[in-house]
Amino acid sequence: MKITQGWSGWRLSPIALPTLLVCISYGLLLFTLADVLMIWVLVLGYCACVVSVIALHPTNHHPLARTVNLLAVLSLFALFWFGLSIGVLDCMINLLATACALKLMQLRTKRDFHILICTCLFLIGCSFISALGIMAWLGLIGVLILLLLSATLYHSHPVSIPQSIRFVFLVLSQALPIAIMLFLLLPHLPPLWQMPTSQSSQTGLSESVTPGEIAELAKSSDLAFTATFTHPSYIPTASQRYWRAIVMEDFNGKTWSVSEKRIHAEHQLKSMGKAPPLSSHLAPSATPAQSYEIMVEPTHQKWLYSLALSSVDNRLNTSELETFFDYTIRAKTPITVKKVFYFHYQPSMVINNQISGFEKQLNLTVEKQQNPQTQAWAATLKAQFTSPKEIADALMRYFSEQSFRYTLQPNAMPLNPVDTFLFEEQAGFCAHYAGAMAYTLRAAGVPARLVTGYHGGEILNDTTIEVRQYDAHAWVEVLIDEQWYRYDPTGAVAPSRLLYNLEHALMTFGEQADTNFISVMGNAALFIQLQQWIRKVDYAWSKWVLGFDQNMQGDLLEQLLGKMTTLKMSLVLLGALGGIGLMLILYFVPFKRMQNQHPSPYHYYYLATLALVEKHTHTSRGHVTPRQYTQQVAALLPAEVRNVLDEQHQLYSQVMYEGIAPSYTLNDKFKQLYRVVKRALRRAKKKP
Amino acid sequence: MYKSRAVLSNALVQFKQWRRRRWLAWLDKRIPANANQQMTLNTIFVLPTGFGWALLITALCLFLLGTNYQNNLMLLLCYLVTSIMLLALFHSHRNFAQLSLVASPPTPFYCHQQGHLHIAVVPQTRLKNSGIANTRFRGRLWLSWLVEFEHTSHPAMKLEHSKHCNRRPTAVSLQRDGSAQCFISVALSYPQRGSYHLPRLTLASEFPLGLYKCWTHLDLAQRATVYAKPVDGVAHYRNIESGETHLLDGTSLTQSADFYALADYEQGHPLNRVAWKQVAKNGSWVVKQFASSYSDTLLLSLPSGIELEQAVSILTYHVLLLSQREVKFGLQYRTLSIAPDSGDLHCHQCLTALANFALPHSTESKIAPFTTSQGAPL
Repeated sequence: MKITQGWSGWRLSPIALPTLLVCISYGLLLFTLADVLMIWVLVLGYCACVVSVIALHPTNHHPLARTVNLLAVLSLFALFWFGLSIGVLDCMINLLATACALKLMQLRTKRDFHILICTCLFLIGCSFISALGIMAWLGLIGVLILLLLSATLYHSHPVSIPQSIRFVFLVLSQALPIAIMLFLLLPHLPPLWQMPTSQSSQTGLSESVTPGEIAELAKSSDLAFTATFTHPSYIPTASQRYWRAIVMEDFNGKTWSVSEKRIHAEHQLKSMGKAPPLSSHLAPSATPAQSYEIMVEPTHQKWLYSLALSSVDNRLNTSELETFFDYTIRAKTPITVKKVFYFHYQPSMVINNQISGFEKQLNLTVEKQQNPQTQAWAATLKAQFTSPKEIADALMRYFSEQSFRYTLQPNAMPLNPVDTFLFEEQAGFCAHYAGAMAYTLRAAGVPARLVTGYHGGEILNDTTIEVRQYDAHAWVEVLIDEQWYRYDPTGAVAPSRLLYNLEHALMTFGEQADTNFISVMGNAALFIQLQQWIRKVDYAWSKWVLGFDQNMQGDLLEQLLGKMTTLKMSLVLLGALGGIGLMLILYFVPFKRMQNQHPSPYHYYYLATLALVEKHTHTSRGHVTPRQYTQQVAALLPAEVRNVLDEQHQLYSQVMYEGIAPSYTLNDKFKQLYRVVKRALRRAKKKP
Repeated sequence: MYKSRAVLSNALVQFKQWRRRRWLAWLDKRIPANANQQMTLNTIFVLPTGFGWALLITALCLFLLGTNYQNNLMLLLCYLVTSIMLLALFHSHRNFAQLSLVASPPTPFYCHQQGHLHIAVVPQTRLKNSGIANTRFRGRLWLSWLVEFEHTSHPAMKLEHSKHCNRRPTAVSLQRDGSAQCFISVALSYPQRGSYHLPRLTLASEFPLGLYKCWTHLDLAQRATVYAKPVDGVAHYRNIESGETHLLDGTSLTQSADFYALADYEQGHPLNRVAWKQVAKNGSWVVKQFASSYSDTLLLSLPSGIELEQAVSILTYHVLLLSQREVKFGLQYRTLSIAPDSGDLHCHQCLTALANFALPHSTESKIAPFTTSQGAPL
């Protein structure tokens, strides 16, 4: 309506407002998908929005079909060119966004409009791949409302805008219960086929560590996962919260990574039919299993974190997990949504050398050309001590006795990094310490490897720990007597890193982590309270909406109906259909009695107006006619109200006795008069 | 080869016509002809539009994507779209079921002019006591004629059809602007005189989301009488009493008539009888009245040798002329013979008889008028 007034001088065509709404919702979608979309697609999309808004003016025209076709060919080439590097899924989303932009420039026919709305709807679905929070969901539902409104305005043209808005909200409020019922009762199928994952949205730990990368991760306060224990006492003490994820056994002088040889060997062992450890049936039953679940944020990778060491609870896990001989656990498919996994924590369990000779060999390889100083030092250590344990202890002592500094901003160490770190800089963070220690141990003839994962976690409530990206950590495992032992040199340098968290550790060394979480958190109690509350809502959302799967559905139905059988299952499905039918009856069957009880709107407003007057004058009407009554109390009423009442009396008698047909406008008129009286009386009351 | 193809296509046309006949017979049984039509479960057809199907396919894609990524939000969106689709079905049906139409017979018109079929949109009888006298139907209504056969039998008609017939439906908006009733006015025009049984009128609506199309084919049981186009020409005027016969055309008749008096102009009086001198002089509109010398009963007939359509047109002209002068006259043409009389009813009888005289096409077949244009609420 505002637009019509603003651009006076010409009438907006009936499709102007729908087009504008589609443009807005497309713009919002581009904004939510900005991470996935390439820059030129974003630019093209917003340009298309502007072009199609400009074309709404009757003297302007859409760009020529030839221009748009040329653009289409160019963008197709660009998509092919970049598509190879960004992966299939991202490429598809980019393609859809581009197609939308091109269609928006050529928005002429009804069909164009329909195609655009359907594509935008699909783009909303695509946004859900990366935007999983409750706020994002609400925002995208807002976009859906805009699209629906645009379709309504387009197709029910003479109906006014407020009525259309009312209709959209009516339909949505009617549709939501049905949708929720479908969501709760329809079976949740497992993935039908393997889908490509989005490369740009990969987060979390990576399969290789160059000291520096974990520091990047430390700047992020995003949630990594939430662990919920079945009993409050199962939560391990702060220093024991090691979440083991990836074992790295290959070092090329700069970067630690997962060994190709290891992957190969694992394959061979599996094909030989040897069962890896940690799969539940092999877990020692003597130790009491402390079961817990972790809800993993989507990483678009397969790695999983578990409290060291935990066995997999295959009974509860809906998606299949793979366990490996290095005691790591991976999901069969990349984790694209928040997902719950179930484990048993077994604190007394030890890591055995599963592939004896091979593992030893693999973890002794050292690059001989680099770091001569360290190698010399390792040689002296080897001569000095006899057992591997003594060498490792000596190294730990070295770290705690020397003046090492814990910092997230160490200087670059491009040449002989271990030498530089150990003897010159003596400043770094977990990856530096763990890397240097593992390297030195290998040089001293002790098999050692780097393990990455998370350490720590914040307590959310009695049984729940939240682990964020800045909790990412690296440590060392040393093979002593055919068993792998954990050594954490970071703990020797900055014990507060293990006892508290990263922030604390940095503070002891006079450094502020330049993450936003510290500044954001502040100290205001209210703010902390609010943040706690938001976290809890987010947790509930993740658990009950994002994590709702076959298991939870089964539990829910079992709680309601007892043990499920196939018969009951089919009855539930039938019941869902019946429920939807019932809702439809509720929505659409006019209930006659209720209608008759309600007087016509004009009658209702007439009586309501009289009631207002009664309340204002404190004189009850009794059995006199309305006209007589208003004459009685006329002296107490403002002139404006008297006039309105006269008009109402006249209209009412016209309808009742002169045979004027009641209509919508009449109802509206009575409503309007009622409001005028209400306002006038309120004003009169304020200034008597 | 060519011949067999012709036979095949002929058979195909035959089959199509047979199928269409069957369908029309079914329609006749399902929605019987009536001037007063209320929408019921029987009369409304609903199917998803292209947009509806597209949305369903989108929902299916969302379901596949959501299942494969195990993304509950996508599934929720898919279910939401599906339930909106379901609800839209009921909303559009309920809206369309509010339609209730009463058609009034179209007034006869000449075949060079346009006639109108007025359809009043009234509230459903089952809603009458709810205090609302307006229809609750909202949105646009698309009108088009349901043409019985693709090709009408008459070649002239066929040609004209391809020239004029606008097969695209026209949209009408029913606005509730206070008036008690709304009207749909459907323009009719026929190139041929005759009396036509109006075919079924298709009314369709895509309210509210455009996901479904609700439509109905209504037979409003109306006949349109199309008079022949009046053409001036020479006719025999025979005085029945005196037996005199004059050969007169329109102009000579007007000239020969004696000026009798001036009378006040009323709407509908022919302009050629306005006394322009008086109008120019004192501004008051007056018409000349003539005392016809043919105050006796006349019998109209035509000289032989005039082609049928031409003859009918000339006779129509003279019938109109004589009725204006309130002359008592009869009609005699070939097998057509109407006893002398005067008055509007007589005039209408004569014109109708002329319109239907020796028609090349059967009056029973339903032939669609050419235009359905224009249908603003009155």
